[in-house]
Amino acid sequence: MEALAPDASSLSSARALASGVNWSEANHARGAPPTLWGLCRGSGAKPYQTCVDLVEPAYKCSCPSRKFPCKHALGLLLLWSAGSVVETDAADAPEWVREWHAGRAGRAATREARKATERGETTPAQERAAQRRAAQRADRVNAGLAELDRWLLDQVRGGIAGLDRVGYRHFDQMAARLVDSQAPGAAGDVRRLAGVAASGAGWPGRMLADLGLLRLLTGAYRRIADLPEPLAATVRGRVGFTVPTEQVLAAPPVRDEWQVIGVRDEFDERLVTRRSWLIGRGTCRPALVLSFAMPGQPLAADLVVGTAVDADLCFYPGAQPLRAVAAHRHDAPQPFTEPSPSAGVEAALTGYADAVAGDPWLTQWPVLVRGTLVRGSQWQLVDAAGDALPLHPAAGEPWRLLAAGGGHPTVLAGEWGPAGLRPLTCFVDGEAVRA
Amino acid sequence: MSWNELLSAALIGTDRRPITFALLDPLRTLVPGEETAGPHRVLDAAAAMTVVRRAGHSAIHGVKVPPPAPDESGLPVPPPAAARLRGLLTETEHRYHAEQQHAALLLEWLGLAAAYGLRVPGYLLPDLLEHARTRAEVRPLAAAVGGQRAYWLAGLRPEWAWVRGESAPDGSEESWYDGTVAERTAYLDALRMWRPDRARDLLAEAWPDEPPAGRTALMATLATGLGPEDEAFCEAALDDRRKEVRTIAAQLLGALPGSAYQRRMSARALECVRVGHGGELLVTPPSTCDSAMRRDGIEVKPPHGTGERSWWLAEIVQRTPLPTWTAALGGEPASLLARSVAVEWRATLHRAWVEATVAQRDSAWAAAFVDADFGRGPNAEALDALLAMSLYEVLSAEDVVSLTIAALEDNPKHLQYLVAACPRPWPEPLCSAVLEALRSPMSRSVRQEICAQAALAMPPHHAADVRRVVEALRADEPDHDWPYLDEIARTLTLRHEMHQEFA
Repeated sequence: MEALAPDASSLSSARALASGVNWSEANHARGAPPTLWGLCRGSGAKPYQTCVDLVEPAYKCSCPSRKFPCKHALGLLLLWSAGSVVETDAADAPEWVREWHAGRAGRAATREARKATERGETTPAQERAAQRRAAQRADRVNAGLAELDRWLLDQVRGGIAGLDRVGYRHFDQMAARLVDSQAPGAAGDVRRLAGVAASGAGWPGRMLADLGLLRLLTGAYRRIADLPEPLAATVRGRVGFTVPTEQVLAAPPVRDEWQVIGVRDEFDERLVTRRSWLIGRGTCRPALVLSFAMPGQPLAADLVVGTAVDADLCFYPGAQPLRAVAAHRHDAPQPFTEPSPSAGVEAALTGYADAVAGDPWLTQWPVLVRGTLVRGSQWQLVDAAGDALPLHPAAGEPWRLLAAGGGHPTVLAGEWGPAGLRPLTCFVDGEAVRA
Repeated sequence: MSWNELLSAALIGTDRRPITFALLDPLRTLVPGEETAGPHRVLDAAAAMTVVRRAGHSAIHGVKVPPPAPDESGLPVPPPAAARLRGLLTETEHRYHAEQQHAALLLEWLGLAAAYGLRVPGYLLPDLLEHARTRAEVRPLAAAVGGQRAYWLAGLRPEWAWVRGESAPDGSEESWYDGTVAERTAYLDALRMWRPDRARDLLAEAWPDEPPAGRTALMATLATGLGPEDEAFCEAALDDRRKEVRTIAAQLLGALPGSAYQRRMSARALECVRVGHGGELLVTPPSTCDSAMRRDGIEVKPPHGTGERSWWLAEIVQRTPLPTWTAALGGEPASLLARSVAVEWRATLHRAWVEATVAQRDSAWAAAFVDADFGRGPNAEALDALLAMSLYEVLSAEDVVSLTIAALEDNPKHLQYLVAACPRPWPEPLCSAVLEALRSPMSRSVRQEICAQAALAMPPHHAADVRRVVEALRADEPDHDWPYLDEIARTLTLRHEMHQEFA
C-alpha cells in the first residue's frame, strides 16, 4: 500500500483520512473489475467522489489534487486494507462509478482500434520511407561503432593507466558521438566508464573488463547478419535499438503467477528507472519490468514487492530474454508469504552462468537464495552449505534485513552481478522487508 | 596468458609492451590471430576472459554463521500497530509543530507497546534504534520494546550498546592520572556517584598542580553527590585565580544547605529587606559592593541599563535560600508577595525571588507566584517567557493542573506555557476547561500553541467531544473556520486509532 503513494506527505495525509469519520460512504465490489469507491468529505460542500480499480490499479477522484494517486484514493485503499469498507454488489455501484468504468473501457477500445489501423494502413510510400530511415540509421550506427572500435583500441594502445585522471570529458565526448550516431545503448556504456575510472582501488581491472566487453559489442554488431536471430536481438538491444511495444506484445505471452521479489530505483540526472524483478512460480523464469519517470514525478507502482499477479508477460526478444511487459492481468495481485523457487548459492551462480552464456553483457541477474546475512568488513550472504556471496560494496550495510532475519536463514532476493550481490528484499514471517 | 598479464599490457599500452600468446594458450582458440598481439587482441582476450570469469565465479566456501538471535518470549505488536510504527519512523516532518507532534506520537506509541508488554518486529529495530540513539528520552522505551532481537543487534553494533545498559567504559584510576581533561572529568564524575569523598580527595590532591584550563570542568564534578564535607574545598575555591572556578564554587556553596556561604548571603539579604510598621516591605539595597560580596560571586558591574544598587540587590536575593524569608519576615510565600513594596524596587525584588524559586526548585513559592496572578498583574514585566516556562516547571503536579484550570478562565500572559507544564495525559477537569476556553476569544498564537498541546495531551477518547465543540461553533458561526479545533480532533482520532491498533 505504501508503495503506491507518490510521496511521503501524500501517505501521511492519506493516513489522516483513513478513518471512518471522513467518509460518508466506502464500498468494495468484487465484480469485474474489483473496485473501491467512496465519498470523502473535503473542504467544499460536495464530497469528493473517489474510485479505485484494483486490477491495474487505476484511480479516479473528483478532487483538484495534481498528485496521482491523490490522498483520497490512498486513504480509501488504507480504509479497505483495514477492513472498514462495506462489501457491495457491483450492480449497486452508483452512476459515476459505472460511467468511469465505461469511459475507461471505451478509451482502451479506441486505443486498440487506432493501433490496428496504424498497423494495417501503411501505404507503399510510407513503407519505402520507413525502409529509407532504417537504412540511414543502420549506416550511422555502423559508422559510430566503427569509431568506437578505433577509440577502444587507442585506449589500450596508449595504456589505460592514466584513465583515472583524464576526467569525464574524455568519455563524454565519445559517448556524445555515439548518441549522434543513434547508438544510445553503447553511448551509455561509454559514459559509465568515467564512473569506473573513478571507482577506487582495482579500477584498472574493471576498466579492462568493460573495454573488452564493448569491443565484443562492436565486433558482434559488425557480424550481426551472421548471428542467430535471438543473439542478434540481444546485440541490437545493447547497441540501443528499441523494440516497439506492439512488437513485444505480439510475442507469445507467458502466463504464470508472477511474484514481485524486489524493486530498485536507479537515479540518473534526467530519468528515474524503476527496476521490478519478477519470478514465475510455475515457470521459474525471471523477468525484469522497467518503468521510467522524470525526477520528482511518481513512478509506476503497480508491481508491489511481496505480491504475485496472475498475468501474461511478453518478453523482449534476445538470447537471454529478461525484460518484459505485462500484456494482460487476469486478477488483482495477491500477497504471498514466501517466493519460490529459492536456491542455494551454488545453484544461483549456475543460473547466472547459464544466463551469461546467452547474453555475455548481462551484469544484473535476479537471485532468490535461502541464507543468512553475515556482517563483517565485507558483508556476505551464506547458505546452509557454508557457501557465500559477497555483497555489492554500494549496497551499504543492510541492517534492516539482518534485523529481520535475526541471524536465521531466510529467503533473500537480490541482484547478482560482477561486483557482488545487491540485497533487495528478505521474506520473514509473511512480511516482505525491503533493504 | 593470465588476466594479470593482460592487465599490465593494457595499463602500460601495447605500443610499449606488446604481448605474446604462448602456442598452447587456450585463449588462442577463443581469440585466433598472430602470436604477437596488438591492442585488438588484448581487448578480445579481455572480453573472453571477463565472460569466463563472470560465468565461472565461485562461491566463497566454508563461511561460518555466527550464533543467531535467541528466540523471543514476548508477543509481537499486532500488524496494524507495526505498520503505524513504520510510518512514524520513516515519514519525516519538517514543519516545527508537525515535527514536535511526530516525536510525541512516536513516544506515545512506544509507551503503549511497553505497557502491553509487546515487542517491535525485528525489521523495524534498526530504524528505531537509530532514532533513539540521539534521544535520551526514547532510549529506555526503545530498549524495553526491542526484545531479544534488539539486545542481539546491540552486540553487533557499538552505537547501539546502550540497549544492553552498557555505556562508554568509565575507565580506571589510571585515566585519572594519564587521561585528557575530558577523560579525567568523566572518571571523577562517575566516582562522585558512589565515593564522593574519594573523588574530592583525588581532586584536592591534584588541585595545586592542575592547569587552570582543566580546573573549571573538574570543579563542576562536585555538583554530583554534593555534601557538607565538600564545603571547605569549595570555600577555598572562592579564592581561585580563575573566575569560572569561583563562579562554580559560589553556585555549589549556594546549593549546600546550612553552608556558611548561605548564612552570609541570608545576612546580607535581611539587611536589604525588612518589614515596616505597616506590614510593608522596606527595601534598602546595598550602597557598595565590598570585597566579601565580590568573593561570594556577586558581580560588581551591572549590565547596561541597570542601576548598580538594584543589580546588587537582585544578585543577593537570587543567592539567598528562600526559607530565609519565610523564617525571618514571617508568613507564607503568598503573604510575602502580597505585602506592598516601594514601587522602584518592587519588580527587582520579585524577579529575583522568581529566579531563586527556579534555581532552588521551590514548588510552594512557584505556586504562590502563579496564584498571585504574576503573569498579568503589575509584576508581569518581571516575568519573561523563558523565566515563566522555568517557573511553571517547578510547580507540583496537583498545583499546575488546578492553577491552569483557574488561569484558563481569564487568559493571562504566558497561559500557553502554563498549559504546556501540565502532566500528561490531562485529567478530565483540565480537558473540559481547555475545551471551554477555546470557545472564547484568544490570540492566534496562544490558541495554536494550546491546541497543539491539547492534541497530544488529552486522552484520545475526547475526539468525539472536540468534534461536538467544532460542530457547535460551526452552527453558531457558519462563516468562521476552526482549523485548530479540527486539527485537535484529527490528531485525537489518529491517537485513538493508534491505541485501538494495540487491542
